[in-house]
Amino acid sequence: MDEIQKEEKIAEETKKVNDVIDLNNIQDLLKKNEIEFELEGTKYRIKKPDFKQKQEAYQKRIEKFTELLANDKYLLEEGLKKMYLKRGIDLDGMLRKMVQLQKERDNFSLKLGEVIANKGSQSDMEQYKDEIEKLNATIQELSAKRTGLLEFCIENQVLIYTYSYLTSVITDKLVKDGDKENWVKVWNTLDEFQEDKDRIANKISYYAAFIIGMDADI
Amino acid sequence: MNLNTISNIRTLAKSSYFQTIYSAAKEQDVKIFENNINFTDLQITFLKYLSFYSSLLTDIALGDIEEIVLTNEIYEDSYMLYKSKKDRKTLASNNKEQSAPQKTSSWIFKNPPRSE
Repeated sequence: MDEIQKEEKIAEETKKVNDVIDLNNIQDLLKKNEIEFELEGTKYRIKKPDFKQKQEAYQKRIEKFTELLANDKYLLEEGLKKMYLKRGIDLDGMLRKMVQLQKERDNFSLKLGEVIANKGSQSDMEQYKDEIEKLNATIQELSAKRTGLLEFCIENQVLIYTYSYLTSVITDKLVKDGDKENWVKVWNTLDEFQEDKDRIANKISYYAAFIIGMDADI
Repeated sequence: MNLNTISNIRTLAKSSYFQTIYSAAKEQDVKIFENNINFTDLQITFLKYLSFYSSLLTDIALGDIEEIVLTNEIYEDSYMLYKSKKDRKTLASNNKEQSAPQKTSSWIFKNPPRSE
């Protein structure tokens, strides 16, 4: 086995392990709405926000929205779209294109579904699957581009802020205090969280995003 | 939710472990989650996929489709999309038949009954 093959094998095995870890973590998340994991020797816990935390997040969201709206430097989504249009970038047109591609994909899906229901040939199935994969890739590319272009609108900034706020309040770490072990906050304030450039903060944000889900869009 | 997360949720929902719990939860007092209310976005997506795979696996068990459908998520989605569209068509045509006026009634009741 040469070096390249070895590396490929290691990457493949690492991916398998990561997949299992992700599955176990997601299973815990589903069952208990909380997740515990260890990073660099410290145990962390993220719990679903309770009613009080959600209420506080809602207030923070209002404050942030009002603050950004009062500042002429920032634009709402509609305003940003108009500015892009002046530069020849049609975001609504991108959305229409995505809807059209989704319809095309659904037509292929219905044809593929019919082949499966009629126990048709595998080559027909693969042909339709390839068409669907191509369309999915284009839709995802357009969606990512559009999301990226809209990243700086007020609505998205407020959403990012709310996610950050909730992540900072729902994350605890296990600290030893003599013989006892206590869960304490990782960050005491949102500023502390935002200033934390550690890769642990990124990993925690990744898990927290699952738990927060729709709660950020209160 | 990113595509990798959805794929992980689907893998769990398809597993015999969760399918067994799902079947038991429908008939007995077995809980899928620790909470019974205030479901998260992730939990609702998972419940939808439990139902999705329950239906798909039943069709495979009945021999309506072959197991190859489970080898790719695009196959799974396409079959279920086709099935739901076909079911909707069947339901619509059944409703149409049921709501169509009975031709014989006008012959039996030549004169409409008088209202009191």
